[in-house]
Amino acid sequence: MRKRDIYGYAGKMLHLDLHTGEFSTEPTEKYAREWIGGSGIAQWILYNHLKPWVTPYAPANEIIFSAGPLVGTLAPGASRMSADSQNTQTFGVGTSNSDSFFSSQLKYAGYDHILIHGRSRKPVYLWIDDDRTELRDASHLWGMTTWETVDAIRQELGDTEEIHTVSIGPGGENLVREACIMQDKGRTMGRCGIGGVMGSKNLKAIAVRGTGSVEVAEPERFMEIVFRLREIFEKSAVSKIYRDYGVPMALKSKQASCGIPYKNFQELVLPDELYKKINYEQFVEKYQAKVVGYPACPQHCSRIFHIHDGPYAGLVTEGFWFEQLAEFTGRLAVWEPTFVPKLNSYCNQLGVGVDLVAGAIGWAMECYQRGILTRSDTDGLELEWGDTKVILELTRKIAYREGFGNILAEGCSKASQIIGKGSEYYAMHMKGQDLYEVIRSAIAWGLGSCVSSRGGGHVHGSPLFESVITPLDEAKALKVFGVRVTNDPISFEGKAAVVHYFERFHRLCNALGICQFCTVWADINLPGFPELAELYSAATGWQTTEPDLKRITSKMLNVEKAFNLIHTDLDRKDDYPPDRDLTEPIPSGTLAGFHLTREKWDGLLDEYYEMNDWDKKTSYPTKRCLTELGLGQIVKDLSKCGKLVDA
Amino acid sequence: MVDGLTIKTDKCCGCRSCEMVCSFHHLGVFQPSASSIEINEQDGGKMCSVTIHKTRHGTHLACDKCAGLEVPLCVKICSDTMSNELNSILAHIPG
Repeated sequence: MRKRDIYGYAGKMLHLDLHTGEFSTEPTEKYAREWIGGSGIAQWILYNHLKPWVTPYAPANEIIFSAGPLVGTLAPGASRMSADSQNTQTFGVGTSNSDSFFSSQLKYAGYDHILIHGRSRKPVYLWIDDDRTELRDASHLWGMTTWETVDAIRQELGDTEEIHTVSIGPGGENLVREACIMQDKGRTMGRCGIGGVMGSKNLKAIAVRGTGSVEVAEPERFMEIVFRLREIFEKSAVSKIYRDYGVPMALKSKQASCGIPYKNFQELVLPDELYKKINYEQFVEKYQAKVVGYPACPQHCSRIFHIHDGPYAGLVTEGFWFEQLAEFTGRLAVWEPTFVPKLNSYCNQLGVGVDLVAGAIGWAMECYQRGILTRSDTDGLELEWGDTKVILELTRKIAYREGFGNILAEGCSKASQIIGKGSEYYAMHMKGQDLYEVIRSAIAWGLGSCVSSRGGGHVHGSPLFESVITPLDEAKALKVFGVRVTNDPISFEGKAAVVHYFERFHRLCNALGICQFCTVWADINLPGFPELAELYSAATGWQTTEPDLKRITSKMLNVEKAFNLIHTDLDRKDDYPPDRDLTEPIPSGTLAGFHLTREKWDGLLDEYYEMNDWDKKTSYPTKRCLTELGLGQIVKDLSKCGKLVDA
Repeated sequence: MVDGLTIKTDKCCGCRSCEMVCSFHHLGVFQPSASSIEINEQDGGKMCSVTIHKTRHGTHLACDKCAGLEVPLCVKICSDTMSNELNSILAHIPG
């Protein structure tokens, strides 16, 4: 076996200038030791490349697609990929992550990252076939749905089996604010609107096939760790639930803990009758055609559904997560269970994010309910809760920016600014990005979602254990988090510390290419910092400890914080829940009457900022914090724009 | 012509862990294109075909049933639901 320059990593980053059509490469090692990989490397590059005047759809914006150093190996859950760019909703940090086959193929083709610069004058797609790279005409693909695009590309390139793709649909082509990027036909990089950034660059898709290899530095040690960790998955009760049914099983615990945004957050539980009708276990038993697993995953929590009866009979599609249940059954109050895969697959094909679709339509339905919007505003449509035909029609209008859909395509925050008339109160968003997370009924979940650098979302700091499927092992949690917590969702004890832990741990997962569901996030007994440190050390040969990883991920967090401070006016004032969460007590359910107040939130934010060594008044990082992390450049940059606290 | 044995099943989830562990067994690296076992999606994802190559086929190496190991690695790493299927194919591989 030949000695490589670098282990775990493929070793190269592929640059494409869409303006000239030229390719170049640079070694991943230039960044790997300091930033690990994945979105860790991507965010550092974007921080340095994107000047303060860059806007999301400008040619000067960049997109970075990333695998991670563990992708392409058997590290449990090592199948993720990231897309990083400027956020089209917040104008700050944009980062979105997905399961994929694409990322391992990219590694086998010899690349860790693809960096897209500039803009093509006409529609194109990128084809990476091992070390051969080609920019191909996509004018015949423009206008196609993502599913049509995948089929057409595989047909054109003559291989329907081994080629994997990322692509956009009409949503991305029409710059819908939260247009998503589809990985093949079943998974999305759904947040931050990066599908629209691709559309602005006339980049329809990327296709990849890789026949090479990924090699680890210490193969025997690596495989010993792999098999040891896989045994833990075998014993995990949570893992079994995900394997047997999938993540939507969280519906039971979310119903029990007031975590469902019913009718645009007017209630936080489903009506009893609707909850019984949905019965997700029965849904799986009736419609599941096959379980689906992504590369190296021991958990296999996805599935193919074949809907063989009802209004959407004939639909065959990959399954959905709890999020879609919360958005469609909850937020839009749809009673037909098969509508969930129907709308999910429709959004996937059109390339529009489910959170924008449900967020904007949910806002509009509540405004219609309250008389703020009338049929003269809505192209004559009656926006009654749960009307599936109207929802499908509005989704289509959003993707094509037609009529009222052109306003909804901006997301509920910007749509409410256009409409005014007090509709802003009903726009549930965080920093401009549509939000499905119920903040007021789960403190750490809420805090993580509010302070997330990308503008809301629960995968950069929120724990799951406040509404977890199985009870929390509190003794183990103390050992892992270093602080006493219970899974009482409305207790404040230890919650800021847990968010501090997860905003680093989630970044580690995104840097390595590991699925967060295959970690302590889902079950306290699954791999955490120590186990991922072991895997990374054995894979790369660079002996790395848990403290090393915590320091690196603290750096990543502060890079993203600085990006937001330089590119936006986001600061402490934007780390509060939506007004509705602070104004209205929980109306019904087990937590009825609990009122999350601004005063309580102030205390929580103060505690969280202190842990990060950020100024309590503004949330700006202190000079001490950045200096200790070796981020002297950021000290200078923030000082220049008056957003550094000299402490 | 594929000189191997193929079954079509809805029990394979398509995670390709078997391909990765097989190539690791042969070459000490993760390289599914070299694996003796090959998984492909069928019927719009509702099924998978599982092929084990008896002799070298293109880049795919011949299966040696992980000679010297107690259990073939593809069987070891896969879930219990696929054990019977994999063993039924392996029964036809020499060695």
